[in-house]
Amino acid sequence: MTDGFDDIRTAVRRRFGEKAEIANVVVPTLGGVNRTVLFDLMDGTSIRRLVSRQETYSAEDNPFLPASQQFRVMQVAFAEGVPVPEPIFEYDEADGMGNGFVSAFIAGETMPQRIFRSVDGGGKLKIATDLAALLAKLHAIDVAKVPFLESVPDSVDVIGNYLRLYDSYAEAHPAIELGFRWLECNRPPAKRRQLVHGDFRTGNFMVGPEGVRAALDWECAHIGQPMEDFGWLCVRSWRFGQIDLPIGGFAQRAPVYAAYEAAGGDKIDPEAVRFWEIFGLVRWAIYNVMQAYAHVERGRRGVAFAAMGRNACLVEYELLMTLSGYYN
Amino acid sequence: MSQDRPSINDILLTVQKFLDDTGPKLEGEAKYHAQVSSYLLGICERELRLAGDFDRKEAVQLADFLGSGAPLDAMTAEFCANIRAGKYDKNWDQTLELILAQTIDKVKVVKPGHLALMHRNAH
Repeated sequence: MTDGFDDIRTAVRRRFGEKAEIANVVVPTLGGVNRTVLFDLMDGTSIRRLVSRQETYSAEDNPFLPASQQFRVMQVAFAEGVPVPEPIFEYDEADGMGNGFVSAFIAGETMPQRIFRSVDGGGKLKIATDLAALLAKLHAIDVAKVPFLESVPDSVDVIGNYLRLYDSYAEAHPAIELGFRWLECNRPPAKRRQLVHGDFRTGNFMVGPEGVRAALDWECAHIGQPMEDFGWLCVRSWRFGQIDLPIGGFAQRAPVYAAYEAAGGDKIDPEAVRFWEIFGLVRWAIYNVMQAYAHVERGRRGVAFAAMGRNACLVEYELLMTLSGYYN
Repeated sequence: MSQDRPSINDILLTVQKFLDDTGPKLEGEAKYHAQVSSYLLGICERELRLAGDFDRKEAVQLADFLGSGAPLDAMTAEFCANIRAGKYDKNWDQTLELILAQTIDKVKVVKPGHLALMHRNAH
């Protein structure tokens, strides 16, 4: 058989026996820099839909968690009852497929506009309060269960890490500088460090008619201030046009903060969320700068990466409008 | 060098129209990339029209703010270093206003519809 998926077939048989078979293989488009493959695993007794993810771009300036650490943090989150695709197995050296892992496939919708169209106001509030409960559960995980995250740069000093990344791209951005200066001068008192998802935003969770099904994309997980997750969720870009609904385009802040506290989360200081939202805008602007840097300087070329470089100023505009109080 | 018709802006808009007409007939990633390509050509067309004025205005404003003139790149680098060193902490609002004005001009080139109404027609 040479359907282009022999590597996955062989990896599956190494773990589930020679009779295991894969079927209904689908490669989703817009997979970005990873190879993503969906397939049914048939091991003789059951059929299960799974997702394979492999890193295809691993530059040293890649700010994301290695696949093995993503897999381990998902294992911990899954064991603690956080809705997350069940981690199934990690690729190893014998597979010869580089870094990657296989997890359960969770059906549903991730595309923001489709989710917005599919639910009414009550459904949106339900999604937002589900997100709050999910975060409360995630933040409650004992950080001693994820010791491997302690040495991640984002865990040591997330703001300092993004300043270092920004400097490494060697492009002057007065708006980003002003954002960093504001963060330097307005940092809220640090509270206890907790497990942070790090990329918890609309588009990165799976939704069904009944509510939120799973948190996806764990490559930015680290240990830090839990309000970072709320700040990122509220970043204007992640409202996808629903600008009057700061919680990811789904809801107002107050009921969602209340739902977080009711689910066992620490009391929320809205000023701390605003601080991390400003950081989120700075961070998202830097991501865009990073894509242009990889396009111009690192040979990872493409029209989408070129556009992201120019789109950095759109985020800078939102940052400045937020800093000046016009946007909230 | 004087070129014959059409102008460079006309050429860009013509190719952009082709992409806008053809893109929707494509599938998946190609369709998305056609959309992004059209977007990029729009940026080129606006930059050719607007960037000269914007750069001159920015250089004058920065030289005024810094107290001495230099090439735009050098002034921007100095401006950034000063922000980081906290030199403008005491005139924060004025600094923010200057950066916002520069950023509005960048957005006018990249995606003018992204601006709040209060900034769409101000020049």
